[in-house]
Amino acid sequence: MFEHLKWKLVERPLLPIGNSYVDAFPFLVLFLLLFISGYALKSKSRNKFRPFAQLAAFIFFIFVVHRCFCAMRGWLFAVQEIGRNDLAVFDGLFVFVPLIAFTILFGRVFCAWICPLGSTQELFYRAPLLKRFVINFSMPARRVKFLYLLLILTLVLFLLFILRPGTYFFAENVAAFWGIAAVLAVLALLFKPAMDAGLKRIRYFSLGIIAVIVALGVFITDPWCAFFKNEVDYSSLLAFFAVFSAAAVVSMAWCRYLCPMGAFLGIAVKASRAKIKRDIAHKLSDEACRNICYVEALKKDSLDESACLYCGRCVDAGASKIEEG
Amino acid sequence: MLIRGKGLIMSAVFIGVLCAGSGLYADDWAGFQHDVQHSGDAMVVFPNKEIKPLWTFAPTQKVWNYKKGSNVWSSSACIADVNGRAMVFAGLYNNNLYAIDAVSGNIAWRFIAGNSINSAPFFSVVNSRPTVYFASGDRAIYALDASTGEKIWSYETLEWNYAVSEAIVSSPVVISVDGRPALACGVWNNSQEPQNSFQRGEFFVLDAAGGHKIYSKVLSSTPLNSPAFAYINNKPVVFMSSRDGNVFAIDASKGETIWKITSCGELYSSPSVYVNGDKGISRLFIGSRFGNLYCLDAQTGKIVWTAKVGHAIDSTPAITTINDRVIIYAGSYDRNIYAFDADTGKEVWRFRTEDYISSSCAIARMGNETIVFVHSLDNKLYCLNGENGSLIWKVVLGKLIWGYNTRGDTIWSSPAVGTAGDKSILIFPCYDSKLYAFYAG
Repeated sequence: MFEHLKWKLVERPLLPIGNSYVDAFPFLVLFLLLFISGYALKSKSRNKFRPFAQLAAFIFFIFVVHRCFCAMRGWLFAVQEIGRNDLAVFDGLFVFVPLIAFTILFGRVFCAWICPLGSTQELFYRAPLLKRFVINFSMPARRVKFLYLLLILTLVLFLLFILRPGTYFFAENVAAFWGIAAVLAVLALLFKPAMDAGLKRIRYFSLGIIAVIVALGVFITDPWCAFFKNEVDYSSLLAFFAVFSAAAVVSMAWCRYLCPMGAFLGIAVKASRAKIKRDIAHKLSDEACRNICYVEALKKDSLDESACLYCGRCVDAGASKIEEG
Repeated sequence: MLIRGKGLIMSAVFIGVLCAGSGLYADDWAGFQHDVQHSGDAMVVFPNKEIKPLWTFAPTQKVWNYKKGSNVWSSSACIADVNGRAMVFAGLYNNNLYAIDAVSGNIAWRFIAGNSINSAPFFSVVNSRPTVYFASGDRAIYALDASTGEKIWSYETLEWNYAVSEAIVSSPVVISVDGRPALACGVWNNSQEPQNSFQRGEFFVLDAAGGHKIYSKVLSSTPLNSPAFAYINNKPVVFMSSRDGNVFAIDASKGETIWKITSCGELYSSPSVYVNGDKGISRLFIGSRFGNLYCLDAQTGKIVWTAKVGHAIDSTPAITTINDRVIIYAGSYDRNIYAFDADTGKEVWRFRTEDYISSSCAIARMGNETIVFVHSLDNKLYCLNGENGSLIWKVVLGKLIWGYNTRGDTIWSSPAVGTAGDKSILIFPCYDSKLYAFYAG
């Protein structure tokens, strides 16, 4: 029923490379957005700039740019095509190169300023009524969340069984299974909120397993593929539904526990010139930390560098400062 | 705009003229998607829907590993009357081109090339000699005597050296250049020699009788899909698409580009052309990886309409006329087979299979009804009513012989229809390594 839905406003390359479908325009937009976001993060008006950057990225990459904003699969695919298909190499690496370059220059600004999936999940946290539910971990709220997630999990498994999205059930449905994993991770958190730090390590496992699967030549999708590519991919849609549902229970559930790109950038940020550091002189309660930081990277006396999304909210609150090496 | 009236008759006359020129019979499935226009529409009538297995040809037990772009069989079989004997030609991944008796399923001869044969062979009678043409991953184009399998000529598109890789070739077609038969074929060659590396999608036009190069033209750095051919305003024009998203119209006589259009996604679909001489209308249809089905004016390359579907269209659109209405059939990775009105681009019907579709449709008749054959990756071959998309029958075939294939890297084979003796036959080269023949009547 969604087959004829078309939300891409542009259906041709705006700056075609070598008269082909490969478009330099998304590369320039990403470059520009990362550049502006990197500088805006350092400015005092970062809080005003960020929604604009998120909105611009969302509009450009979901509605304007016609092509896929491929994250992991495209990179490895491009490497395999070196010497055989130069266009595919550019097409696959155009996201990777600016992402790494700007992460090293400005920190992990992509996650909190540009990534449309992050922006979508953040909506739950920003909506005043929902936020109370999202950050509420009292026992009654946990019970409601638990039942809600069980319902989502059942629905996703049922749809997965009905739709059987891929020819190779596990391999091509990795996105859907990753979505299910996000729900399971949040369910685990409901049992024991102290597990948050441990669950965050799953991201590295997620990165490793996806890298291996892609290197083996398996076609996989991400939770955002269907939206970037304007296509009906059931695995991707199911994953998005699961991730979006999980984000209504724990803020930025995908970014916290499973995002392979986040895990990768979390490693790359160690080489970054710009780093956000906790200002211990500024005392905060656990509750206040949770209110400031979407991903609970901010703690009373520390900041988890690999989990930080570089939104700059803690810097605004005076709890952290940006240090340039 | 109108594409109505005598569309079917004109198409039939046009194909008939081409067939007469090249010694083809009207019910030959000469090559990829039946004819040089890739209509996929054979004038073959199945008497009833009781379609039964005729024979199965399974020549090899070897199961090599899947590699990017590999196909088990060539993209389609070709069915032809060779000196009164109905024959089926199909290439296999084991480098063999097989000629099989269409009635008995027995092998008549085989020819071993230097690499796998992924693209469809093309049959034509040139200089009174029944000839089968094919291209192989060994970078060569071959012409064989269709009766004996004897090599008439071969043309090497790139000389071997240690740095060249396997070629990616399109299905060849026999066209007419300045009144003589010529073979048009796209070949992608790649050399990774340090000082002289290149990736070249080159369009070759060879003398069909002698195999000499008439001209060649580099169109892209990516592989080219199978060329279609039509006379537009009495001018012979070849239409090609390349995987980098371009569609070309090339003057077949001079090799000059008439127009070119760039789409927003990779193109794995080959163009199909509809010409209505009465109305002075010519249309080109092609699907894209973005999921658009394009209808272009074949004269100018301007987009007439586009229709978006849920996922990539790698299949080549098939064209027919039902009750004076021109209908386009295309399968998509969104698992649906679609029928669109060629005038407006509106969906006429869709039929949902259980997995994605990369094969193209074959069109035939059952009594007065138009029927469509299509294969889906759910391992089933479907027969649908062409007018309303209702299922007539489906048959479960085997699974892929290799453990895994990367989605979208291979365009799997398509069915073909023809006649063998007094029987109407359906031939399907399946990725379970068997070549299936069905018949009705």
